[in-house]
Amino acid sequence: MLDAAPHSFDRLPDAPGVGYKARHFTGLTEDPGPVAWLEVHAENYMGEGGRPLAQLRHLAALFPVSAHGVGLSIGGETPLDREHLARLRRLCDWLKPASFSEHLAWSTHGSAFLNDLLPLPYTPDTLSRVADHVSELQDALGRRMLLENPSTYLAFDESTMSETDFLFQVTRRTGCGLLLDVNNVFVSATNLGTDPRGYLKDFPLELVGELHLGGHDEDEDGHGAPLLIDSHGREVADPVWALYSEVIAEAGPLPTLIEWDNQVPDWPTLRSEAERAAAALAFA
Amino acid sequence: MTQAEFTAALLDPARPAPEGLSSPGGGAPGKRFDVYRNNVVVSLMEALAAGFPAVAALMGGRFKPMSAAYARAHPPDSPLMTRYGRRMPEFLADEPELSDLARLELALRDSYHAPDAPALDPAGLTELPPDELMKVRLATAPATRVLRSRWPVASLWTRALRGGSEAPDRGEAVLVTRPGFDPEPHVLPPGAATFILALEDATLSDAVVRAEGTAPDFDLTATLALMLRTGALTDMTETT
Amino acid sequence: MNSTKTLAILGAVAAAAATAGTPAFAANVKCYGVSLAGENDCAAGPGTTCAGTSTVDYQGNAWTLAEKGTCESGMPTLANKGSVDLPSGRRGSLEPLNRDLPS
Repeated sequence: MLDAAPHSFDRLPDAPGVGYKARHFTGLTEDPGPVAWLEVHAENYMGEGGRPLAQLRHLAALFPVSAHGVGLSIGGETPLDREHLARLRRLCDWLKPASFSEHLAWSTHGSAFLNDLLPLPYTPDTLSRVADHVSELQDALGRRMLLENPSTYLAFDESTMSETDFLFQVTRRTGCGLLLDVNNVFVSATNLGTDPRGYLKDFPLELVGELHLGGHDEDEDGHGAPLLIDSHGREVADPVWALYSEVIAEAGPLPTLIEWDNQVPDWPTLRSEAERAAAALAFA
Repeated sequence: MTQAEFTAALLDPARPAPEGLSSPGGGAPGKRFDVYRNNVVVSLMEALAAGFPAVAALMGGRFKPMSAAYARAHPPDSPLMTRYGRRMPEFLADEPELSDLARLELALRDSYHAPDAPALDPAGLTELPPDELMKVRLATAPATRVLRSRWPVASLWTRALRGGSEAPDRGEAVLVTRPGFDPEPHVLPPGAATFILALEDATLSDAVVRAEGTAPDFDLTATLALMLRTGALTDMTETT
Repeated sequence: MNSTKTLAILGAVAAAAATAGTPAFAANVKCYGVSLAGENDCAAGPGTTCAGTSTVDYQGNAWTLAEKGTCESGMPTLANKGSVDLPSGRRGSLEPLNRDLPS
């Protein structure tokens, strides 16, 4: 691994950031606009060298970086992958990210990594398991983490708690913070036929360290009900911008990430989404 | 419902959605569970297309069904998607050209993510006294790979991704090197693969002897020039 | 090793070093970037995403299969299994004839 990145950003600014893609390296370094920090997927920087680590090392000297894990399977029934915990530790020791976050979801079963953020029921049993896994991760990294609310497409009959209560209980047991994905709130509420504003009213905003915004696609289920897909493949939708404004009006300005993972656009298009977030933050 | 049941249903479209899931109106989950099925298999198919662009180009419309079958048979065994697809060469064993092309694409990907290493300065070699030069051990860079195929794999790769002339009807030995950050495949002349592989455990002069044993017309100048020019050599150690 | 051989190796090393010149690819920030289409980054392989996909693939998921109840059509089979269309349009045969591994 390369020498440690020479920087000392210890927190994300209350400003827009973007999910980093290699094709934006030049645009980002030459014309960042209001983009003040970056988020990278931890799993993409676990090689031994080459362009990914060289780029990240360079960028980490210019921008605060958030390391966002997408593969630990915190909601999994099986024990956390010790090897993967060690890789995360190694990356954090090298990168010294300003923030580390992961998802309330599972993605590994047995030896199979399913490459999607899969849902779990919210029960006392799953709460204990998730809290144990969050504590194990925080102990392994030697730092506090943020846990992100998922986007969901269906409900579990066996759930006995709301998602907001579940997340709050995890923070109580582990001391972790929360990453609030506003698009996920809208996607899940639409898909489950619930009220996104009710969800936000119940959400412990004082524990939020970062916000996510991303685009979704519209579809219908087999019965004509709306079905939103959390695709991160287009601009953030207007109703999500509206919810975002309400969140920062209530919570104050927060680090806000634009996520665009599929059909990745050119740099000016992504930067204009960050400009829209900057404009909203100016009023918060 | 267990995650084992959820997983089994994700990977097999013939199974019904697991019990215990519901739509907001209380109806059957149907298409809502299919969103997860789709996310899993399509994202893995896209990962394979990103990992094997030349195989995909040569297979054309056959790549998608093949990649879906691969994804179901061999889902990733680690969250490092950069490593996904290791079993593709054996999965394609019935089509040996594609199988070897997949091996080449894996070698290129390994090279891309391999540790950095400064290239050997050729001046260091020319400054050695003759007897020390004969006994010198040359270290190849961590991003270097050698691959031999009965098929013209490097030519097929180039043609698939960059166009160009028809692949020759003969096998190719290939050196993958990474000058800077971008790996490149180079077709090796006779004996060169033997020479480069011999450097693992032999001195320079012994490696030449081995190469000439398999190819009397082995061209040391061309082979070393290629390796020096592309950063395939990183270090030299004098032996006694 | 005889002296003729030594001289030959010496000459080859000198000629190779002269051709290669000084290594010029101490990687600098200019080569950190990749082009828009990423065509000079085709060895990078897949990266991660924390998003779903709205690309619906008949083989991948089977939304269509499930809705139309045609699951019995089962797994896809490889057309033309055992041979491959090469760019030139000829067929590659399964059995390598007179194909030794290159040295």
